[in-house]
Amino acid sequence: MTEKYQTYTLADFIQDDAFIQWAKSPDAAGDAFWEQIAALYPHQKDVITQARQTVLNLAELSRPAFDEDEAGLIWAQISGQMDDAPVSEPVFRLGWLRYAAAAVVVLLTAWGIRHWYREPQTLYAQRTEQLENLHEEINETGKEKTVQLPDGSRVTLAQGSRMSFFESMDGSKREVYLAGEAFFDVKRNPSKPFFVYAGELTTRVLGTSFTVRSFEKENVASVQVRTGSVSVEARAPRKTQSVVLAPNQQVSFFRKEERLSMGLVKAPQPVIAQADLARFTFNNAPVSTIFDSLGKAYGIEIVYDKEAVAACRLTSSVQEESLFEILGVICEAIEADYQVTGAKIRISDPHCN
Amino acid sequence: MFPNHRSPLKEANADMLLWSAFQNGDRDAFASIYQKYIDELLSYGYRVTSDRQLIRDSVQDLFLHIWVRRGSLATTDSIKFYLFRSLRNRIIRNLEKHPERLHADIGLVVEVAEESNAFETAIFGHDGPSDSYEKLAEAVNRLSPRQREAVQLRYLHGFSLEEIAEMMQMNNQSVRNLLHRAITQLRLLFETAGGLLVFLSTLQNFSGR
Repeated sequence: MTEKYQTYTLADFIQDDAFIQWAKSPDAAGDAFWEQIAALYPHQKDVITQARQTVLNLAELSRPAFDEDEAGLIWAQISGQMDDAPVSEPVFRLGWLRYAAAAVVVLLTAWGIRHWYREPQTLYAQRTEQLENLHEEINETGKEKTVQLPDGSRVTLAQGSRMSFFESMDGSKREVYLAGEAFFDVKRNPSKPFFVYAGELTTRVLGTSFTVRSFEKENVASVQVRTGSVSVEARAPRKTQSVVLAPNQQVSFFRKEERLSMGLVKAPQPVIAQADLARFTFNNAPVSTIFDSLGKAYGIEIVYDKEAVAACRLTSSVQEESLFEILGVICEAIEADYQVTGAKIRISDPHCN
Repeated sequence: MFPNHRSPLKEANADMLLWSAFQNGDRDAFASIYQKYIDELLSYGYRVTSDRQLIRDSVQDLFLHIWVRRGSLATTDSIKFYLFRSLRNRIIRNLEKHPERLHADIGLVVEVAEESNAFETAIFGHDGPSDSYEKLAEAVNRLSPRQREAVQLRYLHGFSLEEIAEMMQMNNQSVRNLLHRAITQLRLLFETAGGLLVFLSTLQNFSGR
């Protein structure tokens, strides 16, 4: 059994499983065994010592240099997105995710209720009470209320929400203070950026349409983009974060955790004309083509494994279904799942024959 | 040095416990898995591609994927092997999506360098570095990309031939040959350099015990 070691060269030792294992992670059993070999074949003693060192040298020399900070940076990204998947929208055939989402809703509600009972002065009140010449709109009508701003932009104020703005918007920027939820359709004016201050969130645009929701009683505030691009800054006691959003993207701000998290809006709208989308017809097309076309039509990155979908072909056309309805139908056909992760949609590997 | 990862049974048991805690949604277990393997995974990532952003994205995707999919992942007794194999597949998939990045990267490059003798003359020619450890370092750098990957998996990460074969999608014998050729190329260096190779002073000398 051990005779082979009598004639081993250094190169033989360093290709021997047991030897490599011992050299890398010496333990009592290994020490005993190799000492025994060295005692049996004294001429191999130096070879063994050298071989052991060579294994360690090879380990060290084959290690590429990498940035030590990298691990922490990547983890920050991962932990920032870990909650997106469970709370994000449709996830099919993953029962536990639904329970997780339900649990999150329950927790957030509990938080909201707790928050209600010790309501401090809101950021909205702090900001607006100092300012003069402000015009305030309060919507207690039970339905949406449309407000025309001095610059020609239009705001649809949700029930239970209020907003303030200067009667003349003739400064270098256009500013609106919001408590609650509103959809903004902002008139384009690159020389006068448009700001919405809502709790910790500051949203800055040039001309675009988007919704801001920030009820101070709720733990989650959000900005959802319909068209154009929007930059959002969340200023909280411990840190300030910012993101730039594209159409169909939304960002949620978790007040308690001071965390920003990217996602997709519930009902993405095509970034191309609805009429063009309705012309989409796929005739025995590779599903990769379908996914790519849909991704372009909605400006959303759809991620899938090219090889895994290679065998899948479909015939399909788009009428008035929503993006998630379309994806549901496609995934049903190719026996895959789709899932919203952050601002992307991921398709699991399908089963096509 | 990296922690022992192949002290067989104990490690496999620890892995299985950690993995099942993670599968039950234990965030601490998930964080521990990351902490435990991230340095090695990054080292390996850098061997497969030099595109830092791509490694970063691939590692991030991999961990988010297993977090989201934790309920439906198979049980494993070697988390490390699972992570390495998945990371490699992910990097290569991502490289395929960006073919313009490929030329600089090695994962898919055909083994040509191995058959050439340019290597030996370069190493044993007249102008090489004089220090033997540096010589070895240079020789390792001159191995073909696949040889280097296999050498790293074998000696740095400590995987078995079978595991390396599965990761690199080769059969066992091809991996054996690949490594054998690499060692043969390096062998003269170990043997002529002799005791000078012993450079880590902290290591206990085996013959001294």
